[in-house]
Amino acid sequence: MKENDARVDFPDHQMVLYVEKADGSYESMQTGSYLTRNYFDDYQGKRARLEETYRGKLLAGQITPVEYYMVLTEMGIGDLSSRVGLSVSKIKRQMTPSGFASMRIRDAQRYADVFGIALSEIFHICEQPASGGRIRDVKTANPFVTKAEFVKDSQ
Amino acid sequence: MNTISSFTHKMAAHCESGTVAALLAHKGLALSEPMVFGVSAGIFFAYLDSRNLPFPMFVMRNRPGIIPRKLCKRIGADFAMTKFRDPAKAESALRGLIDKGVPVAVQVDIFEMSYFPAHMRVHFNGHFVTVTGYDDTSYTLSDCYAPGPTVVPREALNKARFARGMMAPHGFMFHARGVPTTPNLPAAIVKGIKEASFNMVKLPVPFVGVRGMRLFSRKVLDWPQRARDIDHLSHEIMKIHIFLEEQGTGGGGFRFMYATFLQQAATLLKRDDLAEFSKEMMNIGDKWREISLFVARIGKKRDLGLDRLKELSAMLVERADAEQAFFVRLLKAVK
Repeated sequence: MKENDARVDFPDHQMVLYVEKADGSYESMQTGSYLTRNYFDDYQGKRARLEETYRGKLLAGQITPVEYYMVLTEMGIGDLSSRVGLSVSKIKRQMTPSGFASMRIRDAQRYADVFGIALSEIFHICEQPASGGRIRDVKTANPFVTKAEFVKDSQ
Repeated sequence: MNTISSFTHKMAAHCESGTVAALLAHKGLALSEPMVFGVSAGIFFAYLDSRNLPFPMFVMRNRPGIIPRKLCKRIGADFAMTKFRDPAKAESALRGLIDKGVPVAVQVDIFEMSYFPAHMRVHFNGHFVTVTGYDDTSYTLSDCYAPGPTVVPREALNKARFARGMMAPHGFMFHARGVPTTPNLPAAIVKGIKEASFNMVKLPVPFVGVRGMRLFSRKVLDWPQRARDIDHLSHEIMKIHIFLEEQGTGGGGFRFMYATFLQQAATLLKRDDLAEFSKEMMNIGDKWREISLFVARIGKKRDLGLDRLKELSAMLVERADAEQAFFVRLLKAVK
């Protein structure tokens, strides 16, 4: 790849590529991310539609929060199983409403740790405010207490 | 804050190769990132599909954690590499080394690295960073993907070092104890090339090397049946671009970095044939880049019918043919 072909003006996401310089030598150069610069809007749109679809399913009682967050964090059931330390069959059971209802708080905490959310977010979700951005529960030192915080969409 | 001020942060294309090169440089041995990558036979291909994965994927480099091991063996460097069962012991060992002024590379789950934007933070246990300082609540890191040194909460780094799942780090860390003043690079280069070529064309595993590329070219036609909807298919198709260009590859799925390694090897070994191989590898990388631009375009347009996927499949077959011919000749050239 020629040096000029690799140059992308995007300071927010920098990366290193190896390119052919004018003198024929191959060296590294720091440049912007082509994908983030040109396709990030498309990614955000897909992400928003995915969240909306699965939020709808969650609110309609078709899925449980375990499946909701598993899909949003792009994990497979096998990987989730080894990360939370629960068997695949147990996770499948906890993906059903009856199995979720009988889940221990200890298991819920394990899921919350892997999904990177507060424990309380396993049991409730916040609606999108009309003004853009969203309300997110933020962890505190107390695992049972969270603080609501407004965050911008891009974060 | 207890910080190693003599450590120089430098961005690199690939986290593991860049981290190893930075530790060597700190110890006084200047070895380029492509040289580290090439000597340790980093170039690879595997098509992966298992119940652990939400969707099939592919990798263009060898298994995380292999590079420091192979490099040490081949150039005679002395790296201390440790895994832990107890997070408290792992943290204590890490802090003890930093107290002595030793920068330490650690394997982490990228999901916990809070300095990355949310869209980049997925559960992937194969990321490497160098820890260069700490205080009661945080660690200072040199992450090759970040333009400057970064800081993460203490809790986050500890969690990232003991994430479970595929390629779980188990607190894996390494640091340079000693480096050779005059490493036998010519021999190391030849061994690295031999192993990489063998892995690409000789390993009798159906999902590895050029066989893996051919498998990928067939399986990608089934992706529409595996996807939830058109958005999901578009996302997965566009991730091909990420795996090839954005995920610490240096572009063209590590092929540009490998071409750079071959060029440096040609100079060191005074071998014109390696210089020709280097040019050829650069062309191979260009063709991979064509694939990455193609998938980004069809993904965004949702132009994901069977005709387009067949086009993509044909491009992958072409890559497999080109790499098979390339690595067979490269292997012969260094035998």
